[in-house]
Amino acid sequence: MFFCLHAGDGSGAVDATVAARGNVDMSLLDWLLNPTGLTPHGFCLSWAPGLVALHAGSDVVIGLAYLSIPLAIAAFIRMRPDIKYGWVAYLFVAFILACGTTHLMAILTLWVPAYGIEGLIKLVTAILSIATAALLWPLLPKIAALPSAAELERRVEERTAELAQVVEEQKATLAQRDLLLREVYHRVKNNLQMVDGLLVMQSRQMTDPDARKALRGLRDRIFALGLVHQQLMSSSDLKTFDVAPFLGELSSNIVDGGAGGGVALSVEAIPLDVGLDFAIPLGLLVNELVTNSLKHAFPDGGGEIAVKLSRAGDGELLLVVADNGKGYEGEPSRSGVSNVALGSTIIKGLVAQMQGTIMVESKLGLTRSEIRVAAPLTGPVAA
Amino acid sequence: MNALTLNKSTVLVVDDEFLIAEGLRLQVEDMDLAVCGTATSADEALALAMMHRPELVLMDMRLRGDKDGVDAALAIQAEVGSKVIFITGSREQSTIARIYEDHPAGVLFKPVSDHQLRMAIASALEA
Repeated sequence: MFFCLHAGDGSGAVDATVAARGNVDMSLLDWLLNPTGLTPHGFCLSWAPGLVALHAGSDVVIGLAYLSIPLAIAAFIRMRPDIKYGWVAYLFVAFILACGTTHLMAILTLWVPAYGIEGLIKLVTAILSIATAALLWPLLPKIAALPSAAELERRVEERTAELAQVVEEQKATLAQRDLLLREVYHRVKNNLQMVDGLLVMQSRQMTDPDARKALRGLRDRIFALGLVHQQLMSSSDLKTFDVAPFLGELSSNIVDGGAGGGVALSVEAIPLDVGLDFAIPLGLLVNELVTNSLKHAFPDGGGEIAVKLSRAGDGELLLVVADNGKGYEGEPSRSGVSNVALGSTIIKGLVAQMQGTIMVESKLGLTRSEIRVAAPLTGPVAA
Repeated sequence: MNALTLNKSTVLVVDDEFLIAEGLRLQVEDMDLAVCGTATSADEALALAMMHRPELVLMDMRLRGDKDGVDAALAIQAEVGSKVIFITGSREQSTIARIYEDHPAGVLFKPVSDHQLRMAIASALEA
């Protein structure tokens, strides 16, 4: 790598150096920078054109190459700031640059005996080179310990496999959770069916028609609870479901099951995702209100019941259950019936539970209950 | 329904829960139909069906033993030809898909309202 020729190779040059050193008046600066009395290197080559050209040409090529290589190394290190021990590369950059300069100087000294400057540049090169050499050995084990690309690849694969396993495990956990939730809903529904069986059995023992009606009322409420769990079980996230079809199914079951067929039902509801906590009180409220209308509004059998869930201007939900029956003005006995009293207790309690308000108006031809509640948090933002 | 009351249709109730089976039995009787028995497993259901040849079976999906309601229904339909209304606690797609393999006369989800049961039985017997 180093290709340096010395002025001492020629006998004339030796004489000149001895002469210069022998001059005690010469200052250190002169000694280094004043080439007086020295012969250029070409002289040692007897100015043979072939030799001079060989040396000069080779040193040009080496010098240019040694300028180019460190620039490439430096550029590479800049492009890859993640590379560890990048400072070593800068040492390489420095000593190669210095070395290249010595070769360029060697061209100059073919014709100009600037051996002092050439020597200084060599000194710098020597310091940089020996520093690099000295630092390189202790660094060797550290660099050798850096993981190879293949090793890194293997580690990435290992991690990826681990992560894939974690994802699989989490999927399995989620599937397990879904399975458990379905099982819970299934059991709830089964238990409600058992309660229904108990009520049917108890009802058989009753002879009092009011008592049988009361049990029938309980069965309707249990059906409303069960219907909420049916919706949950068939929902994709097992947590929320659209309230609109639920209200439709609930209301039509009450009307179809309780009337001779003369009562028309209309259900109109905005699509709204609701959870258990919202759907149960809402469903039971609709059950009570629709049942009330069905039982009391139409003594002659025919009429219309409308259920409507909409969004009020302020974002609250508005549940309206209305019928076009006889109304209950001037019917003081109604609230005295225990079944009605239970119904109104349930309505008041559930409205309070939902932190809502209820307004009821009743006259001949229109009985209307209007309930306002805050929209559940699970619902989508209204467009 | 007059034809049915003259010659009462018989119904077999299959459910491994006594309270549910009994509740269904009483409801069916209130509809003026005869219940020929209640079974808790697929094998018992098939035995009762072969003995009484019911017109209709109310079939739970989960039964005692290894076989489920679809197994029982397929066996009964092959041997006796009874119509089957499934009454299931599950509303899962997989369960429903399995039920529909069997061409049921009706599918009801627990808890079943009196009205739902009445309508399903009426339409199954008329079909």
